[in-house]
Amino acid sequence: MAQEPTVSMRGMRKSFAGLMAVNGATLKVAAGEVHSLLGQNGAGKTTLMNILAGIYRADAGEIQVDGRRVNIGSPRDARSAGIGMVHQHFRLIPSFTVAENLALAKSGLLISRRAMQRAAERLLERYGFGVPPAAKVADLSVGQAQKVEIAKALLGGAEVLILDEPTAVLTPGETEELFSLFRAMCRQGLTIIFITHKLSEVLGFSDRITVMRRGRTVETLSSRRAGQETLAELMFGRAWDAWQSARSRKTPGPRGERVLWLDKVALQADGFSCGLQSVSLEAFAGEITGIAGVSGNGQDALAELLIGLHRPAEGRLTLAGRAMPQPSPGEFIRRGVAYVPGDRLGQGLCPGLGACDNVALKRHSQPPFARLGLMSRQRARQKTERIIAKYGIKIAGLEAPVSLLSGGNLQRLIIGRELDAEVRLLVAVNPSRGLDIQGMALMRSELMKLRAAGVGIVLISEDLEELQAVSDRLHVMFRGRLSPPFFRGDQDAQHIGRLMAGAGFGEA
Amino acid sequence: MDALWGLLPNILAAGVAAGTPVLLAALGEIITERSGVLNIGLEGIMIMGCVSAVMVTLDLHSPLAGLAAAMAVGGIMGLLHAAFTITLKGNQIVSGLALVLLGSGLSTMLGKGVLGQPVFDLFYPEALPWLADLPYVGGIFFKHDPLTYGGILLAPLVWFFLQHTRPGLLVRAAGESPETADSLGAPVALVRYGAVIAGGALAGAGGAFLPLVQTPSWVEGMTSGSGWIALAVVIFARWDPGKALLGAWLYGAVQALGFRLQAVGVPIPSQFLNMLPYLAPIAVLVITASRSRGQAIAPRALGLPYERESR
Repeated sequence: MAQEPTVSMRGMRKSFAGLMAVNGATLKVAAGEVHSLLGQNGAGKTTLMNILAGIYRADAGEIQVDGRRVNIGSPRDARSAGIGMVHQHFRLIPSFTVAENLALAKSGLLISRRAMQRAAERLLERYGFGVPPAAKVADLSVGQAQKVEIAKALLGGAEVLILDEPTAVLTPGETEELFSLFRAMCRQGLTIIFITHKLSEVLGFSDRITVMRRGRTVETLSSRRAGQETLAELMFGRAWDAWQSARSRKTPGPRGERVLWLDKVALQADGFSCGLQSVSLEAFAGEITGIAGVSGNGQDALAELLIGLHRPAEGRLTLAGRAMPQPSPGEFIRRGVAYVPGDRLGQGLCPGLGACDNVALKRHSQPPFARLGLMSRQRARQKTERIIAKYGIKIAGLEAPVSLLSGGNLQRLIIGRELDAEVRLLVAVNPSRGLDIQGMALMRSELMKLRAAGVGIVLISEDLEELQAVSDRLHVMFRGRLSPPFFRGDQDAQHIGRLMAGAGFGEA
Repeated sequence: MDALWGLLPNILAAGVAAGTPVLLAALGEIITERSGVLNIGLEGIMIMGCVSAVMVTLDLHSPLAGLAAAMAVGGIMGLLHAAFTITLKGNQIVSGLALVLLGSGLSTMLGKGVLGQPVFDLFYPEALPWLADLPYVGGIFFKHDPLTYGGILLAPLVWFFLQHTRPGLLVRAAGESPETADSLGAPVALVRYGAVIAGGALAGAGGAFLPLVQTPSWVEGMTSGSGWIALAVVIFARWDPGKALLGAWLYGAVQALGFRLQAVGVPIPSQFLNMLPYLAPIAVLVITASRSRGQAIAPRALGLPYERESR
């Protein structure tokens, strides 16, 4: 690959509201190669590629295409520079046929169905897409729809094709097919950049790999010379050393009874989640059990299982020594399960209701909120005011819709509500996401306080630093499966990074 | 009953004509809704079409000028709806209801001067040479006024427009997935404006039919719910112009049947017969709704204002 790079990005920077998403990234992609951009969530891969595709405007940096400096300010600019992007969420019209979707990208007044169909057929055949042009997009498989997206980008004149996590939605068979399609496209002179966080794909299917971490490009290496160990280290840094050596720096809480026990639990996969496969998990009072993993690997399903929203298809769920065969959030709450969801305004709070109503919602039928079956507004208000004072929540009024609150205040309100009763098990999903430093510190100190008070905590998070800071034991989740636990001070902790990237789970 | 059989061609012929105002409004609404905008103000637009057609025809003695005026007024009311719902992103139901109220109030006020005045310059039925002599169908389909012919021709034209022209494709794309259309550089707002204005103009034409063909004068509230029926026909037709033609004819035929039954003195209270044209669409709607459960047939982005996501 000695030739002039087709795409060269240098010194790229981009921040959102003061948060550096890309902070000094350099990328050189050679013509006709499959180049993968590897990194964990939030490493800045998608942001960097969105800059190249003209969706974001970079704060600083220089982009060259075919050796010429270009100024990309809009998707149109990118298109005319020969750059096309296939996003994770397809931009296709489900009720239209494949041919109609492709025809949308062209011009002219009348459209002949037959000509449209033929043009689509030619394009689809050229690369061996194997998608029938007369089929409705809604009837296609995800893999086929993705090919139509690729065809659309090619139709727009793309010579450099960017794919954002193209394999996230594909079955293993479809993934194989996609990669052989990549090969065919490269033989015809196209250049492909694909974003991924999966180590196995990177090594098998790309020519070169650029690893990103925390907004920076760390290194570019040839896939022949790279190994999984090297890549995992580049991806996750040597962060695990800290956890490894942090043995006994924290005074362990009074390790007590087993508050939660999942024994080989399985959940059916559906369209939105990969389900759970034979997940075994224990959580003890006075301990924080961390669940690491890239999002979309079954974390949501696990959290919902733990709060009683799902019935396990197989296996047993035991809560404080009592088997819970029936899914019933109310029953779980009465047994002392508290939940801090990742989706604050979706599962956590009703956006349109005020703080008072939201606080009352969880225990509206129990004293002190209810007496003789009637809700006492006054008591709910008193309770809410106490929570607001305790956590320093900035709020316009008890009745103002909570959707007006900032992320930090929302989280404080949820925590206040959830911890306002006797808690034995807390399930928290990405509790610090989107919070400022103050909010994160509060979250962390609340977790440590609860741990000291003998509450069992399951912390599902994508934030490795947070997991390292507080977890006593740690599991890694990948495609609905859970690794065996690692313990603070374990010498095996170096494997965590590899596990997060899916290496070491084997194929099920 | 035999007398009724003999009347059947007559009833069907009358039904084809009587369905025209509903057909025109429904075809317009199909274009509007396929672009993703719901305009429930058809009743208001049609009544304004009636009164403006009467006023202009009385003045200029040309039904064609009256029709043009009705379409222009309908187009302007469509523009109002478009401005409120597309540019200002207002609620489409509220804006549509406002059009109904505006139309009924404004038409009453404007029509004061022409109330009850007979209109002499009308669209008259003209038998089409050769076709009108065909047995049976000739009498049903080919002895009508120009507006009825226009409506019948328009149904396949709207279908062709939506399925075989690029603007039609853009209209459908705007109604199914405006974000996709936008990402491909299609002017979603412009497409929707065009569709809503065209829909308004056609509803205005539907209104013009009533005084210029059916009842040659201005009567307050003379649309008597045709606009609402047209909305029902659009749903019954599943946004398909061809099926809208059938729906409008069904409505027209049931209406004509009611009149004839009254005329031959069938012992059914006239109130019931007058209810028939409104009951028929309800029955059809219930049947189609129960058959199409779970199927997405309405344009996916119908009723949703499109805002480019703020990044």
